[in-house]
Amino acid sequence: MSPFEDVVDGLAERIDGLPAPAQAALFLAGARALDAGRRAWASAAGRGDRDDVFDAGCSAAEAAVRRPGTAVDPTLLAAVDATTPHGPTDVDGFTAAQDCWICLGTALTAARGDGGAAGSTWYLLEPLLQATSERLFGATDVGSQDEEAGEAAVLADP
Amino acid sequence: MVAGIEAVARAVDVAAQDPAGALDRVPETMGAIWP
Repeated sequence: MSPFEDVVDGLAERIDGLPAPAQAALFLAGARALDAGRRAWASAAGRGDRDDVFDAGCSAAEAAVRRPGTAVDPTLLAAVDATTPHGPTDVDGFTAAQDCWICLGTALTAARGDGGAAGSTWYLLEPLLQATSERLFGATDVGSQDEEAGEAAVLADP
Repeated sequence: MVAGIEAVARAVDVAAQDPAGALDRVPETMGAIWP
């Protein structure tokens, strides 16, 4: 297990112990924190990024957090999943944009009580891992087992 | 990176205590995950 995976696993264990509304809130907060990246990537990629789906998903997740028991329309979750981008990956910011959508989908899934939110912990931190790796080493991919020292340096960066 | 990891840990604490409050404090609790 790599140093980053260790960190993710520790957080995931704590997230797994949260009640569903708290998990939904956590991942919705993550989606909102990454939203600037989503918008920037969509603009750079020339992609109409379905802000309507994103905003509707955020509203539904927030309603479920603020009023536990509020139903989440499964078609909305399906729309978020279908809208989550798979490319173009070569436009700067793709990972942050994709992770933003994944966090929103996880928030909706948690709000529905479907479980499994902790498995998305990686996506909360992946954009920062990549950005820090690029700043320190000029490359985003230092996460392989052969590059554990580099990954440890990234994790130690303030 | 340290700040981002600490942000997620802090957000977990906030969400555990007050899920709705976690949404009201996104920049404070999770802002550091966006580079």
